Amino acid sequence: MSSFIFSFRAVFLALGVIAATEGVCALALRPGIVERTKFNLIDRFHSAVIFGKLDDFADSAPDIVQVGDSSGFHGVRPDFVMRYLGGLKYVNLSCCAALGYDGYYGIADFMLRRNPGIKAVVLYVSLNNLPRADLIDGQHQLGAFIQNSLTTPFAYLSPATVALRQRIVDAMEKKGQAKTDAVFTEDMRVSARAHHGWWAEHDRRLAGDKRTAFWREACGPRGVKIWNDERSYYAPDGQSYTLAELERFALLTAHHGAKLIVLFHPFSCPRVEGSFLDARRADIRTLVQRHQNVIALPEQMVEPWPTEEFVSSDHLRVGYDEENGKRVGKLLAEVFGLAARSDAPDDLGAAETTPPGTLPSVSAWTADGAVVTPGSEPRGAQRLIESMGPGTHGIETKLTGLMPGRTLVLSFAAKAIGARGVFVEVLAHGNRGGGYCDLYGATAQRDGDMRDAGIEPDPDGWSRCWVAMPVEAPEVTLRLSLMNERLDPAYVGDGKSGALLGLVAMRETTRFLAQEASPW
Amino acid sequence: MATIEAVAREAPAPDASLRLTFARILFTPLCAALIILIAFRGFLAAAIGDDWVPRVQLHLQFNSLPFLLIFLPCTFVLYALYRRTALANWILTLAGLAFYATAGLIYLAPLVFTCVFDYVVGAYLARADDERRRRVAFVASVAVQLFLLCVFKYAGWLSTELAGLFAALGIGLAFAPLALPLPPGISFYTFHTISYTADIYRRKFQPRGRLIDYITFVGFFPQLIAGPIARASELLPQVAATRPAVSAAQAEEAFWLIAWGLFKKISLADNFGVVVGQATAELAQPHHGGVGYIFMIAFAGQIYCDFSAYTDIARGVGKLFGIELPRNFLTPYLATSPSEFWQRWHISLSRWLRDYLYIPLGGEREGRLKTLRNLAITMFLGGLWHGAGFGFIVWGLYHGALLVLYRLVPIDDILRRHLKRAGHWLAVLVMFAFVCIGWMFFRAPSGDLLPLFASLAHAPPFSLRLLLLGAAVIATDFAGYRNGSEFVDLYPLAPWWVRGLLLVVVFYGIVFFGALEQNEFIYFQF
Repeated sequence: MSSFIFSFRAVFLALGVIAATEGVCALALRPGIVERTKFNLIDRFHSAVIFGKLDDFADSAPDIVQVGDSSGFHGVRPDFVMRYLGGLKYVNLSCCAALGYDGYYGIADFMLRRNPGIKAVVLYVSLNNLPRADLIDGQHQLGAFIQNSLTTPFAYLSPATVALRQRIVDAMEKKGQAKTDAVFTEDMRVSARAHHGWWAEHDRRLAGDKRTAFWREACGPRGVKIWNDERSYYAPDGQSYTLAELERFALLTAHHGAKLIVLFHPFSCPRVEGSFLDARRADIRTLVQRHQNVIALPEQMVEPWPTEEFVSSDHLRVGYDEENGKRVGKLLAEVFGLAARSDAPDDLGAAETTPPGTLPSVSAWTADGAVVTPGSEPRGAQRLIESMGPGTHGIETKLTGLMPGRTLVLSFAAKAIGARGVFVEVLAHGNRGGGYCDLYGATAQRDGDMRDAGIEPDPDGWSRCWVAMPVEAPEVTLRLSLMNERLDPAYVGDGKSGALLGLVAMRETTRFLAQEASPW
Repeated sequence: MATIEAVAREAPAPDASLRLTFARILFTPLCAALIILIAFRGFLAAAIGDDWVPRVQLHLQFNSLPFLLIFLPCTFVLYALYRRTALANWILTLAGLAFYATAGLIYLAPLVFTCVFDYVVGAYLARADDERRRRVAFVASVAVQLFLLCVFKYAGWLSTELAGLFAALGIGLAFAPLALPLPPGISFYTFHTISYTADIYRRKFQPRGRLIDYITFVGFFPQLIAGPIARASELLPQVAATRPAVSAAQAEEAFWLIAWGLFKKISLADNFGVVVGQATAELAQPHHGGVGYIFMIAFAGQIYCDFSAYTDIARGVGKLFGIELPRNFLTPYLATSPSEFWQRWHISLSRWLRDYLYIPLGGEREGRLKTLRNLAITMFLGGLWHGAGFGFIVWGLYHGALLVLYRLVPIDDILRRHLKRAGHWLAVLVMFAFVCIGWMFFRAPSGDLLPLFASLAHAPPFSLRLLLLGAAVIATDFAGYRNGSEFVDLYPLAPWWVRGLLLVVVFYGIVFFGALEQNEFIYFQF
């Protein structure tokens, strides 16, 4: 027997080394279950988001958890919801439609098992993402991973060293990746943690004809979405997918003695016509009749909000998430029989029209990795040309005498001469926000503490870009950098490419920014 | 070394017999229940409630924990307990069918039908003397197999293309395209069964064993989905015999094959796949110069690591059950010519095409022109075998054209003659470049082909991930090439402590660098 065992000495050596490594790692890192089970998931934005959230909130003892698609992730601010809940703790664990109902279910199941005090699960989804065949097929994979990772016996077998994996993956993944790529970075996670799971949308804003075409496609030429009940909303046996999926949630929550509250996101089209809504309302009525623990309001499935308040079909523009948070808070307060309270003051500063100070002309800014020369174009534009070599290529200036708590809008005209776009960055003590103006794609995007960003095409290849930034300090650094084709401000310059910049202006605004008009 | 027959005659000692009986009583219900539980979890959950059944579902994937930690150990334990009995192959067959059924119970129907039908035809062909009747039976058998393959694999594609064509031409022949589910591995098991009846028909092989042995041969789960396409003469004698218990050395080798296969799949192939995906996404960007290089080299790495990983795991699992599966790869990207490439890439398919298509077509016997024609036909059908799509057909024809080109202009010989050793490596590079271009047809959607090829006019962008992955493949393949083998087969030659460290490296390679998407093996779709 001993010689038989001895012949496996290579395997035993390996097992010994692995056991020792895992033991040391387990003692040193003490990884939680979520950190260890990340092993089973896909290293992409969605899994990074949901595992970041679960790691932060797995044992946070919430009273109410919200699961669902990205309409809730970006659209429901727990800070505002909780103003109405009389001390109940609300956590937003919504992520993305890519998780599918299997994914939402897995998250709810995991949280209910670990937090017996949960009183309700809020399933918060957009009408656009109600279960149908293609979504169920397409979303099964990630949902199945979540369930496998969190709620199967294998969850307890993952090695402790998996907790180190994220650092290695990050180092590999993020090298050479543009800032606009879908990477859920640590600062995003910190922000989500600070806001109980909410994180501001950062969609690319479409502009001009593209935007008009988008909304015409989404809502029809007259702003009326014609939506009929279709075969794809039913399983081959005739069962409605909506009813079947929601019943799973009803049974799950009932099993844990919790309520299931089904809420729908505000709708981005002015009107909906067709048989779809009636069919889904019938599903919801059946659900409520069958399950005592379910609360859903079939008559309030559709609540149209102005298109201008959305950046895409399901994502509310930053700022309107606060309104939606209040809306959800009021609905939940009714459910739990909590005394209604008046809205907290909006603490929105009145719009100012007076400029906060003079902005130096572009030629007076400090160049860094770039050269500024007068342009021959109209609008008094300056030519910003990248220097050769790696790094950022831009100009910066300091703004002083600002009033903290205000929101400023910086706008400028730009025209590409080789560069892909302009990256606007605002740096203050402890804050950083960015705005990406893609001059070729005619899209804009915000990140960090930047409140919003936009772009409007002008004639002759010009565009007007703007960013809205909350000012938290009397002095900030403002930087405009060129971006390469990956929309990355850090790259190897060729000494030739750049952009024309002009008409730089700044004014003060409210948090509710003036938006482009509807196509209707 | 005892022979298989001698081992089969050995009777267990009384003590051992008692222990065996006790072990059977203890482990048979446990292992069988676990396999049933994970294979049919969906049915059980529907019957008794989701919360009552542990959330462990077996899928048709080698790279999944339920397969590796429950299904494989349980099947192995059951097999080991009944190895000397007639139940051994029943266990392998039932476990294999349960594994296969996880893709859908319905898929069992064509598989079982194929097995039974060809077993009966094979038995008839072996007994019958009338050559005319034998020919009819053989042709009928091949026709039925090919009919099933065509119906499931090509009918949907063909009807879709036809419907599109009619619509484009304005012909008023409207019909709904067929949408039949594709039974996993049907291309592989069809070729298994055709080779079985063909060998019996040509009197190269005498059928042996019972029906259950034959079903075990066709449905042996390690090779059922993606080969290797083993001949009945290679596999059936092993299956029909009582196999010796796996030795310690064999078990360790099997363990290594499985571990290395998982590493190649999860850490290399799936990461190559990520690069392919990024390259595809890059195409949508306005400046995507050179991305075609990244695309084709990354896909070359992906498909090689993916498919060879499957073969390694299949060989390792087969070894646990005393069955040696043939090798399917031999450092193919170090080939210097198309014919050498096909002797190193998907070897079992190349052999099959050679023996059952190319040679029956006339091979090289009927002059140069017909040889070239036969090559082109064989590669065209080889391409079509891979899948229903014009990309596969073009890929097959492209390789046929390469074979023809090298017959007419032996580039590798010319380079070697003029540049000696450097010429050899240059020939390797040229052949690799040709192969990579072929992969574009194989992988890229038709709409992406033009931009991909156009992007080749620019210098390739730098990809750190591709560089690291490529370095790993080149290093291991070169080590295998120098030894006239594959890297995976060098393992037994290494000292025990090196083997131990290799296992550690593989383990942490998966933990830290695995892409972890649990992607299916690419060849599962074929």
